Amino acid sequence: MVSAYLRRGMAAGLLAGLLAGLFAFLVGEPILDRAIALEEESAGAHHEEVFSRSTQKVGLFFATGLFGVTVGGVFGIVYAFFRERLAAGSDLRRSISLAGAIFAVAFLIPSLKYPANPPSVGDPSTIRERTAAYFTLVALSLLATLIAWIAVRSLETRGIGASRRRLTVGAGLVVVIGVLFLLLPAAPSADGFPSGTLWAFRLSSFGTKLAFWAGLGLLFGVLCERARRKDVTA
Amino acid sequence: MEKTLGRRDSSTLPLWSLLAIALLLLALFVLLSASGALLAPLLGQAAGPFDYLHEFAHDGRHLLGVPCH
Repeated sequence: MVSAYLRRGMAAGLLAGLLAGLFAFLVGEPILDRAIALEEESAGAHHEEVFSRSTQKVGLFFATGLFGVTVGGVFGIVYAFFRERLAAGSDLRRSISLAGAIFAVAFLIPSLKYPANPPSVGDPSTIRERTAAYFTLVALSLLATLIAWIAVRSLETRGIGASRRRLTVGAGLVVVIGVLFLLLPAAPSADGFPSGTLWAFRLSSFGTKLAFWAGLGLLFGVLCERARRKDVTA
Repeated sequence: MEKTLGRRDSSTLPLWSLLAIALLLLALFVLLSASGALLAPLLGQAAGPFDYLHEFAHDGRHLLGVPCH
């Protein structure tokens, strides 16, 4: 049962990852090229590249595709756990709402604190700290939301009304995320980087992630619905 | 009756699926963040080859919004 969801998650994730890769290739790459040109213009920044830019653009599809397979696999297993616990009526709706929730919690919220940065923003000597801070925020944001979800359910069993339940837990979640934003180290400064290119880059990164999660939610839901129909007719 | 059965089926995940989640997340981390500089304190010299993966997946990492360099 879980293995079927895992397989569907990996398949839907691969397709969604390649779709996001296509968006990133068409929209993001021209901006990334501009940022890299700026990086090389600035004195002393030139260094020996392992791969040419065109090889790295093939690598883009490798990266988003593999990202899709792994994230999709995790999504499938998590979906198997949450399936009976989600309010939505059909697999398609459940899949889209779970994908939407994970997109918001694991990507949208962290990107408000640590937005996507083009090459040359951020000091390479602090990469360890920045990587640790980024994944800490993603993990704690997910954990806080999971606890909020459990809290809503336990308040429900105590007979507390839906609107009070959502207001209390929602406010608590906002406070927790706010505290996380304050406690975690500041994002690297993008001073000196042209703001137009920076903004365009961040929008294209947002679009890439949105394309992935919309694709994953839709495709996974469709695969589940199809399997269900086959089960019914068999 | 059928509904309670369905609930029981998905109420707990089998152990293998939790291990699968751990493995997938590890693979995801290697893809998104592994680099010679990041892993050197952990693996020493053996961390070097991760730079090839790091450079190959470079564009994807930037556009997926993960800290890169």
